[in-house]
Amino acid sequence: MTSIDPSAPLAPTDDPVRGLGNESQWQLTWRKFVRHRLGVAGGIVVLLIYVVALIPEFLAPVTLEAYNPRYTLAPPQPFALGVQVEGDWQFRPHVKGYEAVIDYNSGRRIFTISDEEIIDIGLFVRGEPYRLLGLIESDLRLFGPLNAGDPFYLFGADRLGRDNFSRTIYGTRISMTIGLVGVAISLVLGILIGGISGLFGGLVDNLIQRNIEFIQSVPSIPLWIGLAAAIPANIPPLQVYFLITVILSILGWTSLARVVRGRFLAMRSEDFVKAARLDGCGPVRVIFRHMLPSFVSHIIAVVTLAIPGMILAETALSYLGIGLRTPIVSWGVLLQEAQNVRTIASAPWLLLPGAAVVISVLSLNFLGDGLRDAADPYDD
Amino acid sequence: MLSFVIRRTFYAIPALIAVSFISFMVIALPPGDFVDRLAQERAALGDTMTATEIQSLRAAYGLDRPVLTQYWTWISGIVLRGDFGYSFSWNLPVSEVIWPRIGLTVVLSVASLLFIWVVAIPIGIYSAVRRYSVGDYVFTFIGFLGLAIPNFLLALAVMYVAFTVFGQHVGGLFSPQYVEAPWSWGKVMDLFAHLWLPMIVLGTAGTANVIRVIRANLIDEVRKPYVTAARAKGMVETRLLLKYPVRHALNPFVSSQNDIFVDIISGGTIVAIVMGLQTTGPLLLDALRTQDMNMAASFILMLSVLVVLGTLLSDLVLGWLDPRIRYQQG
Amino acid sequence: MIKKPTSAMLAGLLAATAISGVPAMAQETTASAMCSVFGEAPQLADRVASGDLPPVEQRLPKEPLVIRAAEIGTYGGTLVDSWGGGNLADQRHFGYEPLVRWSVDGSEVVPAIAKGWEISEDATRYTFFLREGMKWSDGHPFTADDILYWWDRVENNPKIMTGGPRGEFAVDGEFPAVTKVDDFTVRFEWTKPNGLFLQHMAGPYGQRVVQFPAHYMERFDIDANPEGVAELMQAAGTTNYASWWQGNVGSYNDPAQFNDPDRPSVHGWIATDTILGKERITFVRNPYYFAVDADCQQLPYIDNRTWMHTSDAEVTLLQVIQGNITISPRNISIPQNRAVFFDNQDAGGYRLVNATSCDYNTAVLNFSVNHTDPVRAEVFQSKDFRVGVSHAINRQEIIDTVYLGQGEPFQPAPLPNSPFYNEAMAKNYTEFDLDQANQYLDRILPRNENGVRVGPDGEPFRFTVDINADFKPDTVDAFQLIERTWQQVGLDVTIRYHANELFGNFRSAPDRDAVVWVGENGCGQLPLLNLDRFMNHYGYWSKGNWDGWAAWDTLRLNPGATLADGVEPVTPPENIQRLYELRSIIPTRVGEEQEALMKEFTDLHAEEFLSIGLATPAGFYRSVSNDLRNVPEEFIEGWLYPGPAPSNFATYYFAQ
Repeated sequence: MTSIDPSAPLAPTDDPVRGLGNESQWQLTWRKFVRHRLGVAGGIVVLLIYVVALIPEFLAPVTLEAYNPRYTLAPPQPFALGVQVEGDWQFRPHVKGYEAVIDYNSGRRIFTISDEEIIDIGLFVRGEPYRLLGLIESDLRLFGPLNAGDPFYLFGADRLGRDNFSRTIYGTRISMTIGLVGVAISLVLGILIGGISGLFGGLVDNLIQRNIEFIQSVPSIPLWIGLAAAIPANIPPLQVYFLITVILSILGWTSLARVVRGRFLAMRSEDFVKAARLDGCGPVRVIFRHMLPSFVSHIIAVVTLAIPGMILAETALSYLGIGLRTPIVSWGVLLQEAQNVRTIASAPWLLLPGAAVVISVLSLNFLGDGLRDAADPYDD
Repeated sequence: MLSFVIRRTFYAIPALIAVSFISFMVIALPPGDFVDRLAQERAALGDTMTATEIQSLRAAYGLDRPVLTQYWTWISGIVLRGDFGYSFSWNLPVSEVIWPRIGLTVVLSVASLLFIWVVAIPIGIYSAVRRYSVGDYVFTFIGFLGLAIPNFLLALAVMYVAFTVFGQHVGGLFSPQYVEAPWSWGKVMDLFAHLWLPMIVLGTAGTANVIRVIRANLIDEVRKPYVTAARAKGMVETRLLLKYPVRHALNPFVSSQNDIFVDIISGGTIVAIVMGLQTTGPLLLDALRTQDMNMAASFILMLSVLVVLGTLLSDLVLGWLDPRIRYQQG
Repeated sequence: MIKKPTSAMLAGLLAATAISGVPAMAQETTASAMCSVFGEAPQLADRVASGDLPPVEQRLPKEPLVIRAAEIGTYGGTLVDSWGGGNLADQRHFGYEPLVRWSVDGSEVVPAIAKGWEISEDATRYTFFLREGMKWSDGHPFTADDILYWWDRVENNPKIMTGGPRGEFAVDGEFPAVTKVDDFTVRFEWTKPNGLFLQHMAGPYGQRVVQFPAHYMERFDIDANPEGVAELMQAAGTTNYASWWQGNVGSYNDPAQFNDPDRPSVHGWIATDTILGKERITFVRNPYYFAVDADCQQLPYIDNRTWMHTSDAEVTLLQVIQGNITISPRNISIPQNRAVFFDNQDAGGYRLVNATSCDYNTAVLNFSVNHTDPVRAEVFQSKDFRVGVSHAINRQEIIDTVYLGQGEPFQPAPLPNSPFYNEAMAKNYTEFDLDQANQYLDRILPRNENGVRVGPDGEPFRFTVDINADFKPDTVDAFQLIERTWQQVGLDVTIRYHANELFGNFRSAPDRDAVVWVGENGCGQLPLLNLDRFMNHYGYWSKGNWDGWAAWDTLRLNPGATLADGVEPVTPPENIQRLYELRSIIPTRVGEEQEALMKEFTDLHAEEFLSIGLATPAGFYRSVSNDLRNVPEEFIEGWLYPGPAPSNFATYYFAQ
């Protein structure tokens, strides 16, 4: 969604008497979108999530590398804004410290929150140096313990005593970005090929449909395993995953193409399409200019489901062990590590990255919902 | 109509041959072969295989021959004798392994499909008609929650809760005493007692998708002039909706449901693994991972046949829903 | 409180006899001397009464094996196990009924199917005495002919074992002559002394010796029954005899061996139906089982053994804590799951029994000394490099973090409970010391002006380590910690965590840098049988590329040998040449000479420091149903000691 519209008149737009009738389609859309509360809320959350994805180094209290053997599987520390001093409430953001004993019989560390030990939390604290966006050198963090190195586990700790909260924040970057390219490629291919298939029908349609069936029948799991094994060993795992995502999306356009075709077959006999063709418009123009806008809503619905679909696919592939792997941190990797009975039974806080998945998937969907309604040409 | 079906079947044959060939090649694509996987498995147990053992196994399975020869051996067995070959890892004819599992898989898939439809279609229609109502938000939210929670996580969590809170027997589709027992009334009841967990887990993911698509399409449809016209004529609202808009709204939905048959066999693989279900999904995944060539390739061939069938069916249903599509063009 | 492995259990493993740990002659106190009347399970008594079975005296051998367990048990019940897939035959779960077996505590080899043995002074001749009157599970006598059938028609049949017999039967490349002295006496004979044969016979590769009832197997022998076999093969739709045999008859490790319910066996429980492709299978007691308890009652006590098929570890775990599985399988009974097991003891009705692992290390790291890139080969061959790398591992922190403080820093070496324990080999370079690490590394990988470590060619030096992430997840955690301390000494390392099915390709790629695998068979006498692993030789692969040295060794032993494609022999340094020599000499020596050579072997290892280890494994256990009795106080887990099977499942029983 963009507010800059290339087709908008170059004249100043602050003319107070300018009526609705002069606004471009996109301006109209924007107006309608802001009326869709849930959509706007979803959009804001999505925006925030992408901000997190951009600057996790600043937002996470500790680096990805930080671990502490003394706090393996420590539960989350409750956060409080103040303390009671002699009956008076004082502003002093803090968490409580832990006391831990190893119980060999039950095979775990038993943590008790200590009432004595108070760990002060502050804004803009100093920590390990990092490069923000790969450019700006800094050691500033949004918040964290004033005394660097104190245990501070808002989401609890994992089995190596790493901060689950920081890892979830870092995971945002991979999870939120890596599927986008795949969806984008699928989208373009799906609309183009599905559109041609539906528009021309007959032999062309037949050929394309048979090819789609063919591609859909090629199993993706051996393809993943095969490609993962065939990709040169010396490129980083992140690039491996990225490459495979692109290749899979080139195969993954087929379902979108079939949906588009179904709509096209139905729409082909509509008068405005016939008119456009009789007018001598080429197929590409007919697809993108005339037919596409008329079911853009459906495409948006499909795409908004496709992006979260990619996020979920990432988690599923990680689960199968053929997606991302340690040491890369994504929500899928975090959940894969938490995918066992012992986590659910004794360290359920490690499932919190799942909440991040749910929130992002939900807000992407609400955003898409809002956009769909706003882009609907029939709505008033 | 009949000629349409015949023509489509005719088109399908070269496609199936190509699929069988390509998939065989893709399975063989990863470096190494079944014997390497076997050696890996043995190594994990503590065993060591010697180089000669490996060679002789490879020769015994015919894996020392070129892939093309292996393909020919396999496909000619199917075409000439209807024989899908031996599964290396199961030491059994492929068909003996696959068929017993297909029954349960179909039961489970149909159950979860019904669950999805029964829940999602009414909600989709309701949400479209009562757009932005509290009910719309609530249902949409719940639907998406199901979509947003990764399946494998939900499966394990639901199992654990069922076990700890309700004391339900989890893992598999039967209680221990019925697993290899012949079919009986008790066994059927036992199946139903176990079916609901995987059904819900599998169903939650699909529900949101269906709600969304139906809602979106129906909203498009109800604003079309013919609906306004019908409404102007005083048609009862329910009848008005169901007569045309709902049918039209189901159109894209149906054309995206051609995967149903693939889902029936391969769908829910992850859930089936997590919940220990005796369905076909885990079987296929194992076959692919261990490069059990005959098994995996036969599986994929069967899937392809189902894709072709599914597409054919979905085209037929599409034509029924929307008479504007004529078979001659398909 | 988890008990530390009691070293007493495995300590006295080296008995002062001609051959390490095995008496040259053994003859048990026979049951015939003490029993006049034998007991049997009620349902067998019923079958005897109905004339379906001969009386128990006629089913047992004249001198049955007497297994003395802690308690005299009662008959009945079903022991339920889980089964992860094809390999039911894994004798750690089931099929451990060899000619001779490890004692429960792993300290000695004891009689089993053979009631005794005699080893010649020079250890070239092993004579085994079978039990007269012992029967296969179909009632047919078990005689020396059955063992000869295995040797002549299976192990040495090129149509079945196309690659020839397994190396465990050979000494220094020579296979034995196997002869029948009389119906109940079999002799194995070499021209050289064989110092390890009895231990090998008690291990996993000895099982196949007693698996082939001649009277039954002949129908599957393509030479003895060409037409019948042709028919069977046609019915199965295959033309390759070896593959058909493997899939339909099978020997140790082929799931097919238990798939034929008609095939006679010597095990305590036998199949009643085909098993392949089944979700749940049940074996019933073998009425001809050859062992009795101290009260002369025929074993086993337990009626049935059931296996339920569970492919996913988490599902298996849920099944165990629901109380559906009598003894938890090894793969889930790990320290990381202890809390789950512990919390559900009441719900699942089980107790936890500690298990001592025979693994000598949780993870062993080897570098490619024969790397295709000469610069890497040079660095990896440098002891300075390896010592530097080792000092830069914070083992205590790994133990505290990953293993809950259990286990001790350890290099790949025989465990303290082994007579071959060598402190230098086990403990050298285990301390975490970044200064020392830097000093050692600076000698081979000096830092350039930018502080980057460069190789002998002056280029920045970086390497990768390949790990199977699905095999042992604790290795993944450990190496995430190791990576950080290595970076602190300037090592530029990439650690790759592979899925199981991909790991196989990386572990044998010629240009791999380093590979991690668990170290197995380090307790008691097992290091003696495990020299291959100490020489980084795993049958057909090695952790890191050691192909050149291994090829040199192959040619040394057999100048005419053909090498694998692309492998060039590389002559190792003198000490390592000696290590290879020792590997082939030690099995051919006995007694003190063998011990001295083992000492030389471990000393040289300590000096050369070829492999890097982390820690001794600890904190293992099994869940055992509360009502299951005669379970040892502590299990021993291993491969060459195939724990827990030597603890005699036949004597387990369910308290009423």
